[in-house]
Amino acid sequence: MKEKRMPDAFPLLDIKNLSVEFRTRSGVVKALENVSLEVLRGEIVGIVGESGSGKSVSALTAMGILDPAGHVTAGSISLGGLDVLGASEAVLQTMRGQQASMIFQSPRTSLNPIRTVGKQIGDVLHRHNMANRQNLREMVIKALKTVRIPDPDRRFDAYPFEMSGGMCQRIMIAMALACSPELLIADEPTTGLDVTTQAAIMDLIRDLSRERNMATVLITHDLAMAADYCDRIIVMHAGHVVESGTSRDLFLSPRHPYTAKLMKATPNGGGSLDDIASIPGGLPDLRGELPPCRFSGRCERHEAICDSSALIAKEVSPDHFVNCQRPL
Amino acid sequence: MTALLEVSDLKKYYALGGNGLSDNALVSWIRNRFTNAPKEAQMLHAVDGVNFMISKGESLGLVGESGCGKSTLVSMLARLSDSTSGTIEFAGKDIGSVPAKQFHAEPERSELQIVFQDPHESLNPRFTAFDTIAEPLRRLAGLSKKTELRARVEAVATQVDLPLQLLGRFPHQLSGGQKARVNIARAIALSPKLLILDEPTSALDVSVQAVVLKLLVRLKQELGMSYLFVSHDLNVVRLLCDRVIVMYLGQIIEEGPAEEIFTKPLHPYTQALTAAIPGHNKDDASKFRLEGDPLSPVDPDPDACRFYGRCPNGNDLCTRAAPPKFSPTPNHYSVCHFPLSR
Repeated sequence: MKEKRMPDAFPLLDIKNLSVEFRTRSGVVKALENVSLEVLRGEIVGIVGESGSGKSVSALTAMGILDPAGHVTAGSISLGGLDVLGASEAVLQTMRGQQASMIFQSPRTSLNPIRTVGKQIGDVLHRHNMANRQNLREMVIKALKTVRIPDPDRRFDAYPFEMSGGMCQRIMIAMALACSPELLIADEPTTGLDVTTQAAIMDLIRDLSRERNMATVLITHDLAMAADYCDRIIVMHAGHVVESGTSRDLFLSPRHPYTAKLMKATPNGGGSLDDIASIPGGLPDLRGELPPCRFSGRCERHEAICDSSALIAKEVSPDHFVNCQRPL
Repeated sequence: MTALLEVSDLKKYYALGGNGLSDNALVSWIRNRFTNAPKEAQMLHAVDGVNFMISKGESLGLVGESGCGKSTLVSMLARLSDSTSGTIEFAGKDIGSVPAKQFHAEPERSELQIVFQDPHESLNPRFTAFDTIAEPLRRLAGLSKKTELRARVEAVATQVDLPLQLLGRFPHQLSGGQKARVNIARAIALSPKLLILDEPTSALDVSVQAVVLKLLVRLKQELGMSYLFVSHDLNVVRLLCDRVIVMYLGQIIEEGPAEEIFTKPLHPYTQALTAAIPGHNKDDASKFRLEGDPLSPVDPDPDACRFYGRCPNGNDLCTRAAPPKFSPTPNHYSVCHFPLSR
């Protein structure tokens, strides 16, 4: 657990009031609205929420790889001083890999099935001029060693199908970290992996971020996992950040009704089935007019004020922000 | 309690063709090319001598890593594939001897049903929810009158809390939770005695998971079913199951009451498994992390522990002798040379 954040620390990734829309045939989908988040060096930040809450869209926008149908309508993203939204594609291409890189879910489908893993990692090094033809193999093997792949020399020539899911995810991590980026975004890195493998992969990500003092964003729908590995957690719902704070604050005293419900819905070992409760309703349709608070349709604490005035993030305790008119 | 399902010494081996998966491809290639020695068929031991039973009204959890043989075991129990040897006794009758292809004609087919993994993919995209639920009623219960069928399907849909106006929809028009309900409704349409649930909630969001779990518990009480609950999510298993069996590389390595498995595991593998559950981040959790991958299931050494190499407690005894059964209490056992002391 990190000590209290330094007030003057300069965030590596700084997303301010970001709004993103997707223009589709059936209307404009307001995927993100007024999303702000900061990630410091050496910090692991979790983004938690149901599917469709805008976790991945935030990450993709930060990397500058948002789908062409998506449009940023407001806000700014700064990555180590670079204005991501205004930068040219050439600059972004250098940025991806050297300053920031991303691990995707389902490693098997993200890797090229007909090229050896060594070559795929080599491509990244080659693209960023980190290696020449003579030392390429050596550098790749070094990258394989950092992600603790046994027998890296032999694994260089292996194809993805020859490896287990956990090994493929290690390859993805090796690829992402090959050029020592300052920011790592892991988008559901352990979906589809076994619990034991999940624990090993998450330990690896945590150890590497600590070693290299990387800023790390962990996107997950698993609150319990975020609590284990993150310093700070951001909870998203329907394109809004509803609550953010240190893992400890968030778990000991959730202030947004959605966070509390999410925690109640997660089986946490022990207890009985009566202790867990589902969250009524589903995400609102993000097309068309939406109330200021997008959770209001599912909220038990909903009152007239929730529909009348715009949401403003309240700081309920130091570094603990809640986007709710009537926090718990 | 009487046994509803009793499985003894169940095995499933797959023969591997030629030199597939061989450790040393060159050696076996030379042997095949230059000698007349008959090709030794390698066997993949997917399920290797499994014994357990399920009582009436009980829910049994089955956990283990991917590749440990859970799905092979499930497909044999559901009579979708044939076993290599061993018996499966269901309500006193040996159903294991009926070939899987002919099992649909047996009366037990309607008493033993399965809810498949991932409702997004296991529903027929060209069947409406009504068709999906009506299919077993038509085929196995012989309901053909439209009014009768309609009434029965609606009754089942009500049982799983599926709004009746959704019955005319196709899977792509339903949400994840609704698809899960359709899947469950199809399986319980014939009021089975045993329901096999293969990861019923793994594709669902946490917010809907709880409703589906509660639905399953309620249905079990209402219909007096037994459950075999296969899951990755150990927290869910702990909530739903009376007993748990833990599999590793085709064998059961521990079996016991659910709470004991989680609080006082006997086998080091079970301990590693429970320590890996997120949200249990005690400081000592990382001590029990497993390194490496499981051994190959191809022709494993019968006189060795299959967990050796990843096990924190193993020594060379584990490579020389198959581990014995250790049972401190009558309903809890593990298969290990060095079970964890209490």
